Amino acid sequence: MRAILYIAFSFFRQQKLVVLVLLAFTLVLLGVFLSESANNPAKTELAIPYLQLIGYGIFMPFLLCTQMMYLERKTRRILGILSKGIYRWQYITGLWLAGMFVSATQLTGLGLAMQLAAVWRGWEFHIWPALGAAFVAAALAGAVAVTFGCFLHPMVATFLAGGLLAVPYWLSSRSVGGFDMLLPVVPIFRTIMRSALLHPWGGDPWLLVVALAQAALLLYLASLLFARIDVTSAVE
Amino acid sequence: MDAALSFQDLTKDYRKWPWSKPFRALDGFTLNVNRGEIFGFLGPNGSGKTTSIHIALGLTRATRGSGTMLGQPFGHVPTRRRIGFLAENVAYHHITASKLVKLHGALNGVPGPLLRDRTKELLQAVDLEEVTDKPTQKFSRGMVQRVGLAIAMINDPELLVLDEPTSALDPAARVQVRELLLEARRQGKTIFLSSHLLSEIELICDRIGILHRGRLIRLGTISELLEERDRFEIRARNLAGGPPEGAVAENGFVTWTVPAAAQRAAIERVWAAGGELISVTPSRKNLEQVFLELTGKDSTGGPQA
Repeated sequence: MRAILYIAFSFFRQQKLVVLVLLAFTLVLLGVFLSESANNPAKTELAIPYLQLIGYGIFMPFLLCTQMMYLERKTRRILGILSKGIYRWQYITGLWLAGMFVSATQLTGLGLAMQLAAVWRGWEFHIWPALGAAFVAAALAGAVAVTFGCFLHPMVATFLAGGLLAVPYWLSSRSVGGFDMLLPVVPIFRTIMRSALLHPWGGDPWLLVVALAQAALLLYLASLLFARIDVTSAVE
Repeated sequence: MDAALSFQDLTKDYRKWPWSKPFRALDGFTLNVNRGEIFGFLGPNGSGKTTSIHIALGLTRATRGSGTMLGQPFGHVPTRRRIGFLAENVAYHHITASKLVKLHGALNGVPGPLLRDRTKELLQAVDLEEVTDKPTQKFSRGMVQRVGLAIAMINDPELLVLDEPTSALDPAARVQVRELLLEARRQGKTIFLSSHLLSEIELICDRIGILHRGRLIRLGTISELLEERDRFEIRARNLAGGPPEGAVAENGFVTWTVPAAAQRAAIERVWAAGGELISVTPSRKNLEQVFLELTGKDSTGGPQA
């Protein structure tokens, strides 16, 4: 477990600029809404851009997870890490966890900012359950991204992983049965959008459990795949 | 005693695509590295040196063949904790030198207090104690290589695998690294050193293996490789009638080489000419000559005609 955390923190540190930009954006928005010049803004005006930021909280780890492995192989940094006494599954999990740290930091910053706005303006937001659901969606999206990112070029991995997340939703929206519980990143995000942070998150809690189980399964699959890969040749 | 590192009939094919023609990087490569020795691993670019190291560390898989590292099969994870590795053209995450060394030590399971002490000690040994808290992205290539060396040694490894460890270092730093490696050997560690710097290899290695086109074409101690058993160097002075053809005269001494079969005749000729025989020694080449002869390249690096 310690090795996974070391790897995750090491990757997370490399993403500090991304995290800082997202947090700065959150704070600037908050500043605008709390300033004196903002004359009685409606709470939806803050909720809408923050919903967009929740989307980033899911999308950023997805993007990072599709490209981190490629960058590590291209720069040969992976050789330094994998020549140590660690297993490939620990490396994959550490990489995914780094994406989760990015998501957790951004979503927590977002939650605290909204909490502050709520107290300041006397608004009522339903923040934390929605952010928790977003984090689960990020975990699943990150796991899909890692699975493809461990053996494909980031562009191809992003395209295929994105497609894989979209197809079950598309099928279930066309009333094809049995797909609504498969890789439910889009359904989770849609329920967050529907609640708009103004109403309690109304999604099915089982959706989150299933999403976490699928994330774990995908990480296992990614570990099996990655264990068979020559990491010394770059994916081009 | 078993070998520290053993490659058995290793073959590695690379393919760009599953259907494309394979490029054979290693072709039935077999080698045993003894415990406690400094082994020099030589070969031209693309001869398969780095590939064989990567297979040993489990970073890539052999197409055929097998091997052991400290008695365990290649890629055995707990065994890698007893190994130090410095990759060629090494790159690391952009954090401070001391954090970087500590991270890699921690990944190899070095406990906290020991890790702190060893990090300090090693960064001092590679002459980086002034910049331990500076981020490595501001380091020169030579400095990064020295950090890499500290990382390779942080877990006090039994076997050090170094791929071009001194390629970016200045002469003073090379001497320092050489001392570090010799000290490691004195402590009983095995060092597997892949390098293009033949002079370095010649200075510190106990045995040398030369790899060419994925095959081991020569193996032996330095003297075995450099001495020509079929030619002798004769040194004499005061030869009446002038030096023989092809001899080099310098400071009153005349030196020339003869085939083993002509050795006796040459000595008798010196005596017959009233000369004084100074020495008869097996002819000795330098490592560069041996390397170029074996790998079929002239001094410009091109193929021999």
